[in-house]
Amino acid sequence: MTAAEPFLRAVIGINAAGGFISALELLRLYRAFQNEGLFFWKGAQLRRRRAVRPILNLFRSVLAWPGILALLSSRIATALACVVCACFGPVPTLLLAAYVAIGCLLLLRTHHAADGAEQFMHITAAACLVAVVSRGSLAGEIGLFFLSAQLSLAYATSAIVKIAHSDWRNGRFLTEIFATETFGRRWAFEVLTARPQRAKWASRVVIYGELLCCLAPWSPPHVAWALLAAAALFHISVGATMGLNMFVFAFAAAFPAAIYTSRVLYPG
Amino acid sequence: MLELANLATALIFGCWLVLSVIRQLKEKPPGWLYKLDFLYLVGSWRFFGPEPLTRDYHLFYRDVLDNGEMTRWIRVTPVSSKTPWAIIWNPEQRLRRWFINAAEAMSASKRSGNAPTFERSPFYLAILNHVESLARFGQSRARQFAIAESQDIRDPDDLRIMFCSALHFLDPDRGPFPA
Repeated sequence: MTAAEPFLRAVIGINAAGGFISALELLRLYRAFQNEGLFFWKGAQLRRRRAVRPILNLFRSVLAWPGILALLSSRIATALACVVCACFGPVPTLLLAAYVAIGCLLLLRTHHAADGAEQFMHITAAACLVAVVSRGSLAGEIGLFFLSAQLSLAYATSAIVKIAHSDWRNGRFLTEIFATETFGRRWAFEVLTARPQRAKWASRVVIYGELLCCLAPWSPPHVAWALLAAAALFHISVGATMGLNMFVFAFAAAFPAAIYTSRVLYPG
Repeated sequence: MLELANLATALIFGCWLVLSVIRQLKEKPPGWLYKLDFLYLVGSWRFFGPEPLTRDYHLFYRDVLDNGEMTRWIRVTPVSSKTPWAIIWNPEQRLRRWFINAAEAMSASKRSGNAPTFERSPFYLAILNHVESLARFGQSRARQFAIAESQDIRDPDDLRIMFCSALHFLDPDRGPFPA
């Protein structure tokens, strides 16, 4: 049977690379955490979710300004250490636990500034921690299967909710997304609208591509590799055109789990 | 002992996966799951579906001067345009994301017609706090902010005001948050 450990290390390494960039980006926005910024501490404290408030208060010293700088620096350091350790051997459990815990605090603090990719990264890291902490001989295997299932669930959900809407199928929504400054780029919008059918076909490629990619972990290895390569290309193009850079790391981190699952299901 | 550990691991991941599947069934999570998932371990994977964001939001403010005159609207640009490096490095996207969430939550709250709650919402107070810290027009007495939306990258100045805040008196020593 294929050993799970190298695949788990690859998941942790890619995830931590994303966590490293994510924390650097937050550090770049340090002014937003100051008293006049949009991520002002007192604003974060007014959150409605009751269960979060005690955690925020408990870690107030590192979540409020200027303590947040220490927390962000710790995230950068632990992420970097995870990347280095994953390259050369198993990631120490304590280091991974620190990386996940700091990431969790940051997500609680900046939840409204984070997107689905950040949450996917957070879930992947937490699942790796559960797999590493568990003493079970099959913990790594179970963890990687779980990540494969999450990956499939993500692609399938994303595709199904789009298929169900006629404006996704006819390309209108894709055109309108690229018509925004937030997610669009002028050149991409012009390419998409240069011919009447282009947006419709581009939209369908996205939808059916996502639908196919959800099968990657459960396909024979050569099919899985092909699907994941297409998915990687898709995420890179989304990162380049829409500026959603964290999606590249969030999903790429789960790809080793998909390869592992495929190799276990279709040995030889 | 090891078998028990494997069983426990499988149980944890199995429950986690079931919760994740339940989370995908509706746009908003069931109340019990919302309360349970306070560490954000159960995600919604509807990326841009079923109805994506198809507009940009813009923040403006203006002042009432001591002589009663109203200044022109000043556009607050919380973020710069995307660079070619956005595929690797795009910190401004977080400010954009925050502002989109704020504008949509405030818009929904305003539509519900609950003005007192709306003006005490964390987003409203955070924007007010931010706007009050921005440069003043000499003898400014009060400040108002507005959120506008645009829909076409080719004509970003084609704006529609979504709503205006009330006038807030400017106090140099105190922001909108209690000390």
